[in-house]
Amino acid sequence: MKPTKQLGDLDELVLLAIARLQEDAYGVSIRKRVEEATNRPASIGAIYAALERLEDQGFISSRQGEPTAERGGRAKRYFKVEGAGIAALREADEIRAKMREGANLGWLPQGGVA
Amino acid sequence: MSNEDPKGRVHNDAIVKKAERKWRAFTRQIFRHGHGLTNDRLRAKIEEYLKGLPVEEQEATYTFFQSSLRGTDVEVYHDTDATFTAEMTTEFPPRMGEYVLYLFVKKEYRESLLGDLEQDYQEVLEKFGVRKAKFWYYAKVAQTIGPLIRPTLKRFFKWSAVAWIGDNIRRFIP
Repeated sequence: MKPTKQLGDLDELVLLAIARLQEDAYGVSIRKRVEEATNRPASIGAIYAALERLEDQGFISSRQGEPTAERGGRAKRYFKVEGAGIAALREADEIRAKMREGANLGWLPQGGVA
Repeated sequence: MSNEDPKGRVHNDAIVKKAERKWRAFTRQIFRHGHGLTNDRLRAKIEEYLKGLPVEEQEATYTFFQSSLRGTDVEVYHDTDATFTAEMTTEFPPRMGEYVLYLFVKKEYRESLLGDLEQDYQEVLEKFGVRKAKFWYYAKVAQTIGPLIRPTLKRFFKWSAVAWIGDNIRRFIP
């Protein structure tokens, strides 16, 4: 099955974070995972904008959790990767693999171009 | 979860679940709309809530009462044989910041996004104090709304451009 739209960079990272976090994938944990992986701060607004896009495209689904006192009585929204999301991740991976094919990166100094 | 209250009484599963449902609804209300309440007023509200329950549900509430408030700034202590009181020292995020988010965040994500920010807010509050935490919250609100309104603005400008082009083309058609 071919997904209708290709993933943007942040969308892909968010999707991978959800796949990795599984049952514990909600706003804060997704943001922390993305920040850990990229070593860059990620705004919660950008994460939610990506989540909204992904859910609109049917790549992920969400459910409301229980409200907790530490969050001021507000519930968490847990996210889960759907089949279309997995297909989109596979396609993104294939594209990268194709792009890497034959690319000579050996001449670059360690850590990239100075 | 154990159904044993701090006095060693074991409670029926169904009663504990019923008490839990009621407690959740109550805390949702009090934590969401508790802004501006003094600690004494919040304590009074919890006491009033507990007194309003039938005895068996009140006792069942004590089985999860303390653990449900753990991780917050709410300090619970055992006062007398029958009642618990709570010392509420929780600081809530600035309401104006929350209101701004209400204006821009999609309804489905509103509760979870505000909750996520509040979870981080409590962390900052603990480390840096109220004033810096409030400043942090406003900064986060400003940072958060940008990516959320970008698609709406894009759509708006796209359709404005389409309308403008259409309007100009129409001028050339006799």
